[in-house]
Amino acid sequence: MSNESPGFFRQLPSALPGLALIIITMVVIRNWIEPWMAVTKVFGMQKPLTDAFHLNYILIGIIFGLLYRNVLFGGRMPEIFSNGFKLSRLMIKTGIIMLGSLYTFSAIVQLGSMAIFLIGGFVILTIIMVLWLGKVFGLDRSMTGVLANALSICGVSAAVATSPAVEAKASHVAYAIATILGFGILTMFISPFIGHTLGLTDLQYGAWIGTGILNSGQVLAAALAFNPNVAPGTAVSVAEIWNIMRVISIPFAVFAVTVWYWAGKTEIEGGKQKSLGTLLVEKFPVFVIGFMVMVLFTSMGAFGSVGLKGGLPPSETIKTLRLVMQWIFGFGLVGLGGYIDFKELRQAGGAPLKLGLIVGVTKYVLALVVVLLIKDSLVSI
Amino acid sequence: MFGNIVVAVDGSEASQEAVDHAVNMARHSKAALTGIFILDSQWPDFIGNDWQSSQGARQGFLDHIRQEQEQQADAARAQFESASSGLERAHFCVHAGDPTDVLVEQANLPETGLLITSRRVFQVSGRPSLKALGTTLARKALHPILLLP
Amino acid sequence: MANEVKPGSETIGAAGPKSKMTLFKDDRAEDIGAIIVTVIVVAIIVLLKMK
Repeated sequence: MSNESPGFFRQLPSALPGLALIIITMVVIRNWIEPWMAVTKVFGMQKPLTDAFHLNYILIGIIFGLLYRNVLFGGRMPEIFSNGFKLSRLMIKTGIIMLGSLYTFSAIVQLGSMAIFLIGGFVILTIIMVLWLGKVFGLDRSMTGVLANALSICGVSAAVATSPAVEAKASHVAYAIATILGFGILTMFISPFIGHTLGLTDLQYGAWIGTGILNSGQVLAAALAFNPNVAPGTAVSVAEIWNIMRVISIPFAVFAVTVWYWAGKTEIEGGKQKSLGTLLVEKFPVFVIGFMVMVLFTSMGAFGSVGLKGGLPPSETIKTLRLVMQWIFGFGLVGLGGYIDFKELRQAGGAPLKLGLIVGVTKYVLALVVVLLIKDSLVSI
Repeated sequence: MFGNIVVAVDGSEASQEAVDHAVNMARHSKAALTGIFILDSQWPDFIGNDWQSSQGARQGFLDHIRQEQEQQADAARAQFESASSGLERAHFCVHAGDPTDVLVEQANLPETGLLITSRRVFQVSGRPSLKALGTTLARKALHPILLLP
Repeated sequence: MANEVKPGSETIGAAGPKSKMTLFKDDRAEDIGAIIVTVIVVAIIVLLKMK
């Protein structure tokens, strides 16, 4: 049995049809559907799609992705498009690295410390809640560990990173993932609406969803859905610092939960536990280094003025970079939409669903309350 | 009468009843018996929504799931072999794919006379949508199927 | 494991290749790929805007 698959460049041609579908979709959305939404009238309401539902190219792109999969293709991406959709993660990672051009080091330190403060507080709160509710619902230790990390750090990524370390059963993880995804998709669509209704600023909104939404992909989408502009101080520039802080914390969280899990086991079995050093080397997300290098270049002025408030307007290079980022995120999110499978979400259930919903909703609402309470100390960059 | 009887086996209690039933029917009707286990290939897609992954996390997870499924395939084969011992024309087969699709395909093969399965088969390491496997099978199968609880 | 023949039954059918979620070797290769794509895109933009 051969486990080696062909290399990236040999598979690239097979990705072209899917890639073409993604690109054509985004081009149609931005050139025809968005302009149409901006002038259309429904039931006498001016532009209800953009004004009341806050739909923009990001949410429409995700909707197209999920319609392709769940309606047009009857629940499964056809073979011909599947490799192209696999490239969506590459695009989003590329977009995030380029996003480094929005910040200077001082801005990162400022936002990052706010993020650590909020994320840290909520991680502790969430873990305590999950451990307690896990007991109430009678979940086993491995499932409780997976849910603790998934609900406190970043959803599916954390669930996936933790499961092997705590020997979680596939079917259990599957239900946890379906719950987290379903909740994330719901929050992704309602958050921009709530944000606009409450009149949140970009900074407040970014801090809220960065803390309250579980999945990183959905944080990105919800931020761009609130404000599609990519510039310093916009929702996406705030929320992505939260995302990066979360992804950096994954190895630490996996370590903590593994220690907790194996502490309840006999010594002989404990041999499987990995040290924090090994986990850091093994699991550190390399694209974050790319992001930091981008921040470094920006801070040194390699791309000209970034257009911070009160300073010079952004340079032509920076403006083009931002336009390219909008497109790249648009492509990537059409791809992610194609990974939303309703037949899996419909069947979510059991204790993971109950626990996930209780903790998820608490965190989502509480994060909003906290952000509103501390809004005077949230300083804009 | 049936030609070939296909039974879905996963090593669980639920599938034991289906296997016993299938063996009995194969004995009485002198039919050939095929036990099948399906390694679920849809996991990468299922976890594909999230882009943010630390190094090796996703592949480590997929390998973890695969290992669990391979162990289950072994358990399924052991279950099939012990139930079908003495039957001349019995063989066991491991497939890879979406369990629902593979079962539908097996049910619709010209040589398949009857497909027997528990509604709860493949749920031990299955994705949530496999709960609907029995319903989908009942809708799409062209040949007789026997759905056990 | 799936291919050895035992008495009373036989095993046919390949179990298929190990499943993957990326066109790259693994997640880290995908990260490095993203860095390379960024370098190319940024270099093109900077070169175009230099004139």
